[in-house]
Amino acid sequence: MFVYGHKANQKNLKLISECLGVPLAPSEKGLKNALTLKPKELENQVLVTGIKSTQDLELLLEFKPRLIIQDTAHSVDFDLSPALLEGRGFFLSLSTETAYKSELAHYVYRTMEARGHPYEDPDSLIIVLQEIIANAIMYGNIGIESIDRGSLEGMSALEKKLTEAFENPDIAQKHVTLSFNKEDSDYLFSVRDQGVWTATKKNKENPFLRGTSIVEEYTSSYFIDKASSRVSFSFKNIQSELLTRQKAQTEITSYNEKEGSAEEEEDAFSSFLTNVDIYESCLLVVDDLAFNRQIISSILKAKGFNNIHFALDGQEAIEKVRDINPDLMILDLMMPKVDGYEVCRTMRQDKEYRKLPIIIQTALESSIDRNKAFTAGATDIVTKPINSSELTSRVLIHLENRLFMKELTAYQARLQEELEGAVLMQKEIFPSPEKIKDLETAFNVKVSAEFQACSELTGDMWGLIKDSKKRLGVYVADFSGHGVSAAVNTFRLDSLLHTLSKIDCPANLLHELSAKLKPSMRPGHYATMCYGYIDQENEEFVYAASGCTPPLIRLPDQSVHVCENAGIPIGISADITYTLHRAPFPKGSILLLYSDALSDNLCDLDDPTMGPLVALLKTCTSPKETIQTLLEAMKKSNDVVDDDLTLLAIQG
Amino acid sequence: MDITFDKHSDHDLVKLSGRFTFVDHAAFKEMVETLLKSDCQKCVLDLSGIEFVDSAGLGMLLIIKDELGKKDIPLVLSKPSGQVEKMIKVSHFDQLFTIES
Repeated sequence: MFVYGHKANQKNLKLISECLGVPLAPSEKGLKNALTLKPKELENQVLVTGIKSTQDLELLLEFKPRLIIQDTAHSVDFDLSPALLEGRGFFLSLSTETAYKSELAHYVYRTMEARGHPYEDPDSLIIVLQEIIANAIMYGNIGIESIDRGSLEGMSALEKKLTEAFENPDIAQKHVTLSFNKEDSDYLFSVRDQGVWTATKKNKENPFLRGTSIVEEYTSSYFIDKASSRVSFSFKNIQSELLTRQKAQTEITSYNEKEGSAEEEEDAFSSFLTNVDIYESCLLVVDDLAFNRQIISSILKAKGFNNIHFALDGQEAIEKVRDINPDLMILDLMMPKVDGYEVCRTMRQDKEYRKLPIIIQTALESSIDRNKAFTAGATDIVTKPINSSELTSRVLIHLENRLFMKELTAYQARLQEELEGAVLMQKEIFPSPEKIKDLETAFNVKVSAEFQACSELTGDMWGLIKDSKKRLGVYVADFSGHGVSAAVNTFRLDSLLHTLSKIDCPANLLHELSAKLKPSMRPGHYATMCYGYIDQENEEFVYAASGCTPPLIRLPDQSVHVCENAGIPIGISADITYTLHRAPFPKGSILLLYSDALSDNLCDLDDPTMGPLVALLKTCTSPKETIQTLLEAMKKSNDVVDDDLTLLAIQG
Repeated sequence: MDITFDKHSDHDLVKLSGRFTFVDHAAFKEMVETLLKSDCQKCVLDLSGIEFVDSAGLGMLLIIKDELGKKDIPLVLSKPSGQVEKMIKVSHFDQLFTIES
């Protein structure tokens, strides 16, 4: 067995060779690219190589190496587990990025677990941990290249001590003294008492914090002193503390308990939601590694969530979502069969699940990878190694948002339903086609009307009445304001007209209406109204007006009479006297009453003669034609009508 | 709509300019509150700068009349012109308000 590797990495090759006790391959067999060598040559050898993809990996595995060592800065973002499971040895990292991505550590752990016992191959595991921890300490800052890694003796001594610690927990708990300083190295290792090891970076300014997540994973406590660029960490009882799943769970639970006060604040925030226990939310955790599922589950359970489901790969995730309809999904990206990106895209294409909060967990940190996740449809990203309080905060925020939205949507739906009911009720106060027909017959008139509300409820109304003197009464009213309150006023007016039906003088009627409406109308609100009756005997339209639009009468000789319309709108005062007007209405005339949506649209503000309207009316010979002509004219004008439109034409 | 205040010895002059519509409701209300707090003896609303008033604007005039009326503070509408004058005429507001040209 030899160690094969790229010529450029002699130093690392030497290190590995020493650590493993395996000689370096003869230089002419140095590995430029493993893929160019014949499989037979690499069987049972140690390969130090840079794998970039699953395909590379699969190819290399055909060479049946004893051990593959990933020796590049490539992030391990493809699935190593099949290779590891097959027992092809371990992947370990000699570089910054992969060292502290616990993705790697989890692969290692899982493989150990799958093999039945974490310590089946202690030599290999020691090397992995040594490298991970050492790299975390030394290469904490990305961007530092080709750094001396301290003396070989130092690394070996560290390895030795770790070995001792793994094999003998008692030693780990006691002091471990180890010190090795090399003057010309960039790093000083020194070990203080009580099992605390310290590594100090000399002459470097950047604090090494990036490795802390990995350090956190594998130590029971650590301390970072930014000022002096020191990281101190301690191993206690490594076997039981670090490498068992149980211990990992306990650590997470106790870590959460320490954050008790922060949790209380979150509960106050949650109280915005009514009658809902956010912790009953259905959560779906998707990850192909059991270890990860365990960790996430423990974090969530410690927080109080108790409705957690799992899926082991993308395919199962999609099926589970359709089955249990979760409130939130925590989704791993790198999974066999169907990966996280695909799950995201599939969910977003389905109308049902477009709004499902999906929190992606990934070790990938480049903005390109993050953008890829968001483009695929992720709601949020949490990086691995998972930080428990970050995960729970994000989960809570997204669940709360989702619950808020649900409440809001339900409220809107209820309101919409009620509004629809109110709209139907309001339709009742307008004359029905049957009523119109009856009145047409009774009075030998022709009536044509058009009403267009600009939103659901309206403040406009019009009506036809057979008054107490058996004349045809007609009115158009426009309540100020919009929406529900204006609509309520139309109901009031309708009722009042019934109670005041005995009043046969339009001027008195307006006076009474104003007095009766005023108490219930807020200051600033009023209605413009025109009420009158057609006196067929005297061929007159007798009416009173309170600031409405001027009624128009098209006489049989095609001239158009613009009627008086000034008056104090009703509902403002109880003391107004209205003027009774009489306008000529010979047989065949057409009376036009309308809301200001028509006049504002077609006429100039300063033109009291209503020029354009008069011109249009001249040409009309029937109520139906009148309405049609006016509607066409409104369509032609480019102004948007944002007010209710009432058109009422009566031909005597 | 722009609203400017001018306190004179015997009255507060409030100058309105621009379009007077429903969007001005909040600002107008604030102005009325300020007037009520400022020991106003008489309020003159200068409408010469208003180019357009809608039904909501007319409603706001009714509101200020009502609010000042509760405290017996006289209100004068000054120099309405153009469309504003037309609206005031149609709704016979000259019977409800003191108008000065």
